[in-house]
Amino acid sequence: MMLRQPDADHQLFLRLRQRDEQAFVTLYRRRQAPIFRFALHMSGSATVAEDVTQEVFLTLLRDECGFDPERGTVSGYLFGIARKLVLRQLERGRSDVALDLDSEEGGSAELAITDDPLAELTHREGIEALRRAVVTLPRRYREVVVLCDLEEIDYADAAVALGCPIGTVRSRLHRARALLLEKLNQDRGPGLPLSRLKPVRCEI
Amino acid sequence: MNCQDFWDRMPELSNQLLKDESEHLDGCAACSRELQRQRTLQAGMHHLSAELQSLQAPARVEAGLTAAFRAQAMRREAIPPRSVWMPLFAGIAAAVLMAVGLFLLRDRPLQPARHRTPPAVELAGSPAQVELAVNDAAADNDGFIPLPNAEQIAPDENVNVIRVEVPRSAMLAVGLTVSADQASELVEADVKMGSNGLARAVRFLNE
Repeated sequence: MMLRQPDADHQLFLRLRQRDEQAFVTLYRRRQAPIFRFALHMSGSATVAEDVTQEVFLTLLRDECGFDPERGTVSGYLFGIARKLVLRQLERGRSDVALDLDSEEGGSAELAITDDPLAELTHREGIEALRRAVVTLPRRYREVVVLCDLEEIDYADAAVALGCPIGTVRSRLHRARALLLEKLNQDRGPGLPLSRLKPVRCEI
Repeated sequence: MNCQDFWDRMPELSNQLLKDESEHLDGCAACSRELQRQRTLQAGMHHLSAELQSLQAPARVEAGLTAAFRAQAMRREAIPPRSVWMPLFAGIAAAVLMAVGLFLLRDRPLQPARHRTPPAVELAGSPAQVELAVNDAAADNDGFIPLPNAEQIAPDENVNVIRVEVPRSAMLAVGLTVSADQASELVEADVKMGSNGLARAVRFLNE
């Protein structure tokens, strides 16, 4: 069996466990923004995202932090902790993303500029519509889109963070993108036939 | 390859299409159009990701974490490592146990020696028979028999008595008789310890 060479994050992790403050700060600065954004997308609350980010890195300071380099990277491990903390927050009902479609639809009229919503995805309005569509995805699809498409982590790390096989990550991502296309089309009203944007494959 | 086979491979998740996938697209306008939508969505996600890159945790989070790191480092320096504490705790525990044990032994009233019952089977021809009389004579008023080669207890010596269980065969050492079939049985005995911690005399109970 080949031993995995410790990457930069792992080396920083090893050093911070030896009480190297600079290593801790460096690792924090490398990884805090993706963790914060992930928590923000999942919770819809900057306060929760801040708390989660802090708690994730406090976990690294504990004697039994539970990181196992054989199971994945430090990044995947941090996202996994963040995910658990966010889910805990959501279960408590302290905060959640606004899933009220009515409120989302309030802004859709101004976005109906052309007949093809996808053509606008590189424009500001189109990107904003896409952001809202991501936020309204069901949690299990939202988290995989945020990890793989927005934070652009690889499927292996996403699998560690989500606690599922890579194949499940791929199938959820596939389904999530189909849902996004459907939502974008719905935001544009009845102009386009839904049949054109139906998911090509349903896994649920 | 049909459309279902094509999408089962999740080509929208791959950067490059395989040869047979490209061939399918060449002959299927619907799949080609759908794949184009997926690619456009992917490009939109990339733009969104780039827009969100500036989002990050407030500076106070880093300040708080750094303070927590320093506080923990200081605590660890203040507390000796486990390797230092463990022998110390073990030593204290042993000393306390020994003190409690000695205290209980000192307060325990010494039981007078019981009369020995005639052994069922005398070890015929054993030299202990000869020494028995000597040891009986040497036994003190409490029934303690001096151990062979042990120092005598000085009149003013501080002694401790410890009750133990030993095989009955140990009685042979002080010249007592033991039947062969009972040699492996356990018997209670009081051992008189001298001030130097060495056993000086023994008194068997339930002989």
